[in-house]
Amino acid sequence: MIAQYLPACIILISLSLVIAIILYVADKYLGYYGPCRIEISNALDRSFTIEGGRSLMSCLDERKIYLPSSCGGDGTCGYCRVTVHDGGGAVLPLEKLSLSRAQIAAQTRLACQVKIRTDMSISVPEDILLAREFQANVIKIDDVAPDLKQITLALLNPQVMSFHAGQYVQLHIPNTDQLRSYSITSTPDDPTQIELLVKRVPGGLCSEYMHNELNEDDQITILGPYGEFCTDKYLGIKPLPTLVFIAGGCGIAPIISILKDLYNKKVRNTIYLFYGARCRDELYFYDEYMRRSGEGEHFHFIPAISDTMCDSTWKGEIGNIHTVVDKYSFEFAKTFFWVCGPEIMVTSVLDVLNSHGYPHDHLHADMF
Amino acid sequence: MNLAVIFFAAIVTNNIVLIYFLGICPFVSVSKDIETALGMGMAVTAVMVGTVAINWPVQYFILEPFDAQYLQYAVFIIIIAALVQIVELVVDRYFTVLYEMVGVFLPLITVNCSILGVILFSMIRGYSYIQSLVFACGCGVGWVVAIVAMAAIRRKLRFAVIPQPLQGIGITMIIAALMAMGFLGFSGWISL
Repeated sequence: MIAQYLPACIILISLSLVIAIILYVADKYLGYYGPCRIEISNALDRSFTIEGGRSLMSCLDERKIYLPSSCGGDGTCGYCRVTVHDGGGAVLPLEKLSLSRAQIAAQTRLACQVKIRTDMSISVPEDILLAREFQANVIKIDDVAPDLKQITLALLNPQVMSFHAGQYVQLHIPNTDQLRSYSITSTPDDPTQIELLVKRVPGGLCSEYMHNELNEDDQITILGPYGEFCTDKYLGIKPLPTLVFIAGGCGIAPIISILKDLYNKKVRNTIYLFYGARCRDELYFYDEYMRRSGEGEHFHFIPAISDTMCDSTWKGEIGNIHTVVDKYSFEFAKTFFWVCGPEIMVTSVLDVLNSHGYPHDHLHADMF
Repeated sequence: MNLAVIFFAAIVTNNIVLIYFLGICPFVSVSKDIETALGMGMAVTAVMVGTVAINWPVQYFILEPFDAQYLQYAVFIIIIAALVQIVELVVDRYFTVLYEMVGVFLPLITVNCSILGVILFSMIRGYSYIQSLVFACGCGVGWVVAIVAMAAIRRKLRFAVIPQPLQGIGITMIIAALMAMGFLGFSGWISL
């Protein structure tokens, strides 16, 4: 019996051994790129030399420059954008799915797909250079709706996060190497704690964990803050510009923070909030915004539902939110837009705004 | 058999992808852009020829003398996987631009059944070493011709009005079928 299978065993073991040795030698000589210098042109003090052959993202991560990512470096989320001035090589087909032609022309790359083969010169968005790793304690979990929880985190180490209203953090899912992005819904007034809105996505790795397993007093790791979905730089402009916010479903999260912040700052700008969802139940914080819109002339709340079957008593706008936005026109030069929601909703709204002719630099979008 | 007959028949009348429908997965997924398709085709051709160059002697000088032909599939697949790894390393190192274009698809070649198909056809048809190499080369060129032609047609399709249910994979499979019928037109010219 043994003699029958002995030749087969010897052949397979010998073959595997020979192949393993060849692959080891090939990897040692062909996969070695030597030391490469990475120069971050907008933060010269953070330039460094590392061993080549790895992805730019993992090297930056090692140097505590935390690029956002929600796909674990697979090149599908498109968040880890950096500008590669020199040494990045050609753009990969996978990157072209996430980057527009204008972005490619501006040398934008996905750091997870750029392999370090030689010395490189790059620029990292300013907000990412400021992002840090935080340990946080869950101090409160509130049920906002059956499928939506508001989670309050107290920052432990470091104890203070300096952020702008509208920014987001990345949450590390325990026992995995995965990160997921959540907008901060609290205001920067209290930098020692942040609030996140988490909608349950059936089968979603992070949302299921946050809804089913996360308890008060648990500790989690977050990275941030990230994002440029902010209003700060438009608040000093005179005459006061009109600020238009357009949200779909859970896309209200960063806008909650921005609106609270604007309210606290007592700004006098005219503000419009277009908020669309399928049903009335999915228009989170509807009552609060209705109450606020009745308080003064500066804040206008335009909610819309797309499915009248689920609420026959609805008296407001009906239809997808981009069709509602299409009915309104604003002054071109002094109106700025912030759009947040699912990808199809954001692209539809941007198509409408572009068709109206609003300047591109007046449009801000955040999609998930 | 005449080497020229083997070579040209492998390209047209016995095209590995359009007549035998082997290697369909990368044929569909990497045929969106002509340059990428050409790069992928060249990588597939290199692995095909390399696989035959190594597997043919393994079959006749190791497996048969030791009466271990039943290991054929396992051994061939191990060698293909190792060869793809080496090709990936070589392309990554010395053909950086090509690697940037097809790097992400290179591991797909390991599970490309046309590679295994070529070496098995060589064994079944009893080709000599040289004939096997020429056959692998012809099959590789045939695969390149098919995928580049498909990429060119798909480029034109961007401007075509395609019914919603047929967009993407649907229209690609229909085009592949029409191309296969076109290639069958060569059957009176040359055959294996």
